[in-house]
Amino acid sequence: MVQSSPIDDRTGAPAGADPEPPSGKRALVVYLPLFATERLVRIMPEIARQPFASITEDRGRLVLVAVNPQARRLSLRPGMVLADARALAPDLQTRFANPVAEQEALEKLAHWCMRYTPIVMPGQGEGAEGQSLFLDISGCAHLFGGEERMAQHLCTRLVSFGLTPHVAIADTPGAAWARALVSDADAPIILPPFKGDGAWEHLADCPVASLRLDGSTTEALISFGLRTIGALRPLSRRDLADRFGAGLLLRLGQLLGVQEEAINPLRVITPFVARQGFFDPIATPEDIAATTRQLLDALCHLLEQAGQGAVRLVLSCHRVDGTTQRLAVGMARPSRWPEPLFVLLAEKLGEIRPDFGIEIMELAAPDSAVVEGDQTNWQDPVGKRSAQGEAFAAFVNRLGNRYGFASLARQAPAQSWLPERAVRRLPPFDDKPLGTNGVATNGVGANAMGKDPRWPGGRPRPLRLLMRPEAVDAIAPVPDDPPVQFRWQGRTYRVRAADGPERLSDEWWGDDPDNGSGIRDYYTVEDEDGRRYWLYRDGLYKPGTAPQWFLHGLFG
Amino acid sequence: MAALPPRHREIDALRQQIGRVEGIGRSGRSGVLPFGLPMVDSALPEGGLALASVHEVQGIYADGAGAAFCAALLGQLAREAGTSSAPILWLEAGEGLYLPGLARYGLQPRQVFVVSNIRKTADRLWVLEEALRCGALAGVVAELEEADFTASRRLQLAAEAGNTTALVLHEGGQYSGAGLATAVTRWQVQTMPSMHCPLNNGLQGVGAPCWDVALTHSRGGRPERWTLEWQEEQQTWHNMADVGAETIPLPQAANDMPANDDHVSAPVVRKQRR
Repeated sequence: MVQSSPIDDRTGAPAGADPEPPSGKRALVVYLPLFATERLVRIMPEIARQPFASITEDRGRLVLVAVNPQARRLSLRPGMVLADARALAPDLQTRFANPVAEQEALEKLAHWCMRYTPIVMPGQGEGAEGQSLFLDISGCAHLFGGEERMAQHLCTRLVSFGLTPHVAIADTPGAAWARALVSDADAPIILPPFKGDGAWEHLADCPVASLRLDGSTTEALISFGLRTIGALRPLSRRDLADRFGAGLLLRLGQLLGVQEEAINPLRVITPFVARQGFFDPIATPEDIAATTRQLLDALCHLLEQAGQGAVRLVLSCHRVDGTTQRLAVGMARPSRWPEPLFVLLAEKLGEIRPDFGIEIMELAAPDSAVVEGDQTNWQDPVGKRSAQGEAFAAFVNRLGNRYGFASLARQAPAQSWLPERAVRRLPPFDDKPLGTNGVATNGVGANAMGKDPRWPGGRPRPLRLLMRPEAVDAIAPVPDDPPVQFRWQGRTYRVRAADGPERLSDEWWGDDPDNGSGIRDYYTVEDEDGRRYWLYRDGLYKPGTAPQWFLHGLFG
Repeated sequence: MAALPPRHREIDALRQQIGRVEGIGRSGRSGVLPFGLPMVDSALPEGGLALASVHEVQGIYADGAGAAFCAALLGQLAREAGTSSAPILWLEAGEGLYLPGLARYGLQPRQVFVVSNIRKTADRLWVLEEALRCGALAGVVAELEEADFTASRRLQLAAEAGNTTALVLHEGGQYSGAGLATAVTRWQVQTMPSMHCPLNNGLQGVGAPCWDVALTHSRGGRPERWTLEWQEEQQTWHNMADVGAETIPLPQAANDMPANDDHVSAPVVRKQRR
């Protein structure tokens, strides 16, 4: 079903009265006025039949945040002080409101709504008590047999979740929200595509509160006697802006479709999605694995056509009970080979709990990147080297998804003389040649473009470096001589042979207070058993003050 | 050193048969990594460290001697693999491995992958097994405290499947003595005082790294003990018992950096300890 096609426009109202809204856009809004309490009822069904309110602390008092219909019937209202409410309803049940959990629940619901359209935005329309979901259903409705059936389907499902949905469909999110706010529960309102002044006609009787304005503006409008949207129509735009602020004009424009309003999708839409729905919900691990494999093949085909590789894969399983289970795997470098990717997913598939069954499975690659140098050699189609590289990449991916990608790294020289800063982490797959910046120039052959970095040669460096240098008591005779003995961890070591000093200092701009004086004289010393240590004296020798010695590494 | 008993063909055949039963019979196909020292290589079956199998290195003290010995072997494994960039993996229990320290064993930044901070032994066993199985690595060093028989058997099978050599490193601490049940060789390493090299200021400089290396277990070989020195310049091993027999080539001495080591000036015959 296509709305406001060019034909409609030609046969519609004469042009020029009001700007036409962007053609073809349709928005569906679900307004859930009682979401806060209905969420709690879902968790605690026993409170369903009693007056119930969620409360919060406000300036030392407990006030109601949301009330259920039973409480409302006893004239309890949000914002009421709990003590007053108790006087009206002595058996009032209360729970503390949890906005974070509420938001999470709404997002879950938004994810569930992605079965209707990929563009879903959870949100709270300003000035309303309940929560809302904005769906961009442009071009989606025909899949459900038209807008009416789609809205009815959505309503029925939401009611079965124990919610009270108010649903409206219109050309703009603003108009749909305004209608949803005043519609009856479970009776979707569908506004036909706006033509000319159509928007005004359909929305004239909506209260100004449905404009999504802040409370003071709404109050100001009402105090001027402007109670409905229709009442704003004859007034000049400039007067409205002068008196009520530009916000009113923006909302009015969004309502009428003059002003573009985007629905920010909860999930970034990726072109790389494979999806499978089932007539009969599936639940066995074998079915899930087989479907995952099929989806992966389809997705990899899409990726290959686009010359891309997936960096992250998200598998979403929409269950019959309305919840969605998700698992994600990451890749150290973009890949589009189904086999290793399936191994990654298969390791996590056990986390999916199908419970009553899965209706829809969806595999998406939200992050992808261009795959370079993936060409196989015609002389050696298997490619021993590249096959090994792929095997290693698969290993790295499995490791990363189990223990985090941070657990695996390479190290490269960095531009500093201090040993602890002379290395930097290199990601496992960084096949770009190390450029001029970031490569140490204090070593041999370090700064050649495109060449592999090499460790600075000719200087002794320990195999194990202590994270923090440990203070030792050392006896050193002459200012620049190595120590003859030192005491570390309660043991005394006599130095048999020593090399040094090698003076390493902090960069002149460095002012790390942990770093002592910034000048260190390093000595390689060997004790009587042949163990080698890397010791340093902090700072220059000063007569009269005992120098500080530290142990920084072990050579083995 | 005891003279080798005459090798009979039948005994050799039987050894190979046992090797096949034990799962290391393929070492003949995978080849060996020779130390380049006749005395060491003759104590090892096939004349070198069997590739595609699991070896255990025990450092008697937690002073890095075992790690250094592993690093030297890794450097040779990487060279053996042919390409300069053959990746190797070092699986740490904690963190603190300082890769510039690997440079003297001929390893360079791009090829060394370090997996650190995986605390549980079971998790490290998984990583090690998968690393061996993937078949793209020239060698793996894994710091492991313990592994039961099943786990060590799995490691050996993974090493064969991926044609990758593993060095299981265990340093200091409560050393159980048994170690990996299926390790093809087991080495105990501790540091030895290096050869002196007098500096011009009358002090002693530090010589090339030197270890007391005991081969305590060798399948198809015999236990033996040597004092080995690592020659950084030539990237080779040197058996200290040979010092008297041949002359060590002197490295170029003229170097303005007094911090350099490996100044072997006067070769002297040194006795092994014990």
